[in-house]
Amino acid sequence: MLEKAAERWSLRLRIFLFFALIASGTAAILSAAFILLGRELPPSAISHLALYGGGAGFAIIGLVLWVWIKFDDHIARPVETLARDLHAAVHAGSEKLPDAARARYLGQLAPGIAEASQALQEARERIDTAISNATARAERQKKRLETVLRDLQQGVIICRLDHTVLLYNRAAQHFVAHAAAGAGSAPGGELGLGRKLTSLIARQPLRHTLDRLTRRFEGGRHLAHHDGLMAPFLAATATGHETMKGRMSLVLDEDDASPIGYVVTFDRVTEELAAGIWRERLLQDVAQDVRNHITNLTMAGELLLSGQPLTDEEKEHTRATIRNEPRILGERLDRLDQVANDIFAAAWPVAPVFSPTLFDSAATRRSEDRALTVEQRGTPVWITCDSASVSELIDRIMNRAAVWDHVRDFRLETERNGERVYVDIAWKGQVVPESLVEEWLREPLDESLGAMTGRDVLTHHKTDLWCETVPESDGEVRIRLPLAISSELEDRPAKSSVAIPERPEFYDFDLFTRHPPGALDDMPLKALSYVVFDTETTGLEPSRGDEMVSIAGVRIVNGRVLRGEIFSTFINPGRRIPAGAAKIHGITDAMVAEAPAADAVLPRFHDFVGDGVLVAHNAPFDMAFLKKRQADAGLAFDQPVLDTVLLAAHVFGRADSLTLDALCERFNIVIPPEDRHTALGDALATADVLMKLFDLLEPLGVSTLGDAIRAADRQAAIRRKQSAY
Amino acid sequence: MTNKKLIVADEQPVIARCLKGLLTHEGYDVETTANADKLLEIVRGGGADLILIDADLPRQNGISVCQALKANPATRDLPVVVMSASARAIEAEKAKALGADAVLRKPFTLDDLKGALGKLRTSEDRPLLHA
Repeated sequence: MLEKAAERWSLRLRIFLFFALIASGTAAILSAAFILLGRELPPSAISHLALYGGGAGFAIIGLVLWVWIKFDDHIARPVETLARDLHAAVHAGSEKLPDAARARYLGQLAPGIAEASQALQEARERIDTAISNATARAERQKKRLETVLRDLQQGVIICRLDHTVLLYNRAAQHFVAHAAAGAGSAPGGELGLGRKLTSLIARQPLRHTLDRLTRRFEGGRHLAHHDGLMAPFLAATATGHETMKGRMSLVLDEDDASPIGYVVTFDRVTEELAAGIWRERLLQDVAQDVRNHITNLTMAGELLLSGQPLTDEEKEHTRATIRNEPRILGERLDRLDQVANDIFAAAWPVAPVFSPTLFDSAATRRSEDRALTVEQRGTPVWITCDSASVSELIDRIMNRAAVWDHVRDFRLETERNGERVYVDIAWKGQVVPESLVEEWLREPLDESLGAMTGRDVLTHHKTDLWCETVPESDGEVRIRLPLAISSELEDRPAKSSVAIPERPEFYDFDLFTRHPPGALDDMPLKALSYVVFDTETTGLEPSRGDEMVSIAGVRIVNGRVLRGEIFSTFINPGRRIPAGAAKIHGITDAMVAEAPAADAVLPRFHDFVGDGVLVAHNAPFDMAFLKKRQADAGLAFDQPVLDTVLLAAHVFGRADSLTLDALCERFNIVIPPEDRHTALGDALATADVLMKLFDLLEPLGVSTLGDAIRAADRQAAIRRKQSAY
Repeated sequence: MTNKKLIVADEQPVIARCLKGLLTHEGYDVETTANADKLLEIVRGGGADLILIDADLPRQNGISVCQALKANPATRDLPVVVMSASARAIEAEKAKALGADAVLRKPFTLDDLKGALGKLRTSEDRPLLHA
């Protein structure tokens, strides 16, 4: 029992106890010896004996104490420090070498450990090189896959069977962000690794499609099924603001024996679908309405043809019917025409194109090898069109005009007119007769566009073109082509202020094999999801009116810091930022003037954290600010909290510096100077520190969240005691 | 005062015939034709004060005829009203850009027609229609 307890005591305590034992043993033996001697001596000598004996006893105890202090200072402490350094070198790859001056009494131990650390480091580097070489090819392939996924217009999400997200691409992320924006402040959740897709997309269609596919697979019907393990589905986002037309494919395990997840690819179809539904309703209404109005006209005609005498009222009624009904029918036909055009145009791929791009494309086409010079003018605008066929048409018109009017110099120009833009092809010359323009438009365009003519291109774009003189010009004419302005891009909002790193982690296939979370306390540290965060504030005392001016967090899922899943925003503190605080974090009143207030930011941050564990460096400070504002926002940040300061104290002891800078230096984590003391920069650095601490905590027996919280609590208790003295 | 000579050019015989009846009743001398060549022949013979032309004439369309008339100094001031069965606003814009004095979208009523003609002026700067 005692032995077991002694194993847990530190080296210094055990050595202290050892010396204490020597001292007390010696004192006891001396006392016994003097007592026995005292019996043999005359009483007069007893007082001398007690004096000398006591003196000798104190001298021996003092000597032992002195030896212990020296031993502790020269041997025990350096051994403990060496052990920690060795521990850090072995488990966290620290390159910190033992302090030779402090360990000078340990003989060859310090140089030996330094050599061992160095050798370990070199071996590690060799292994790292070997591994990096071996994985370089896989990495390149992975990068290619990432690029393909990132640039895909379609949204792609891969999930486990329990709908946990393992992969997503940028299109999927934008889709969800768009849906969240449409949902206003409603909780729409965030797309992220390890999160549930069902919190973002309506559960029922996903489950239903997955069930269908699973049954198809289990029944072996997928082998003969023309869609194999794929099924199309239509689903709304959980907030109901967006509709997606998707295809779900089952992912099988390595042996193709059982499904382990699914891939969903999708397009956003809300507008398309809404337009389709609208067209359908309109067609139905118009058809019914037209029948009614034709019946009115028929009845009026029948009445007139019947030859029976009509009263004045009947005559007036019949006259009104014959006058009004055709007008109404005309209006209905306009609507039908519009629907027909929409259907026609919907089948034709149009996309926003920037006018200079369109003009460059037309100017450089030189399909007929004529040395035409093309000047560009006008304010650049985004135009909705099929740029391939429109630039081909512009090129064709220029070539025909060049031959017909013997000109070489053209000008391409834009002129805005409401929701349309005139694309003008101008030159100095004469007006091309409409009949000739029609002839040009009847010619087939480039072979790559099939048998399409210029007229077809105009019909597809619901437009026309004509030639006219340019008003107030010196004999200039122009062919004028009206096209639609892309209002979506004209109104495009400013880019998000959160910079996404070059290579965000959009996937984690290891989640395929992760076990479903059991009791949080017993979960291995690396299997949990974390949000490591940091705040910048107006000062150090939330209770005296200090507020947050910025908050940032990064997610850690399955032991990886996901630099693509970050939260970062300024907060308007509703008060001035003292110059002293602004000097530290560089955030000024002007920078937060337009920023949202805490009660608007915290619900979004709360969503971002979800059921993850909150982590911060000196967490009580940051948590105090969150707790101060949580009630205003109607929230509770009741997630488990870990503090990297306390975890580091458990690993390195309290003697070492535990500042973020010191830990980063120890772990070779580099914070770019411009990012230090920014919420995002510090949160990212803290996340890296946490990952290193996990490596060191495991050999110390701290492997679950419960262990980590208990270890941190012990350190907190010690700190409280220390601060009490 | 002699009646104004009005030429109606439309391929649809029902429309041409009805317009003739209605406009004769309004005090015009109306001549109808179903093609552009005949129309231009009449204009060259000096037999027109006003033209009502369908945009979709066969062979040479109405807008093209309008452009040709407006490009010729001899006929530049001859008012041209283009009738269009197209639902697209762009066609009216195109017709006006190529010289049409007014554009009527089919179907139109007698009131619409009278309204359009009432706004036109001849080369002698007299209203064409005394409604």
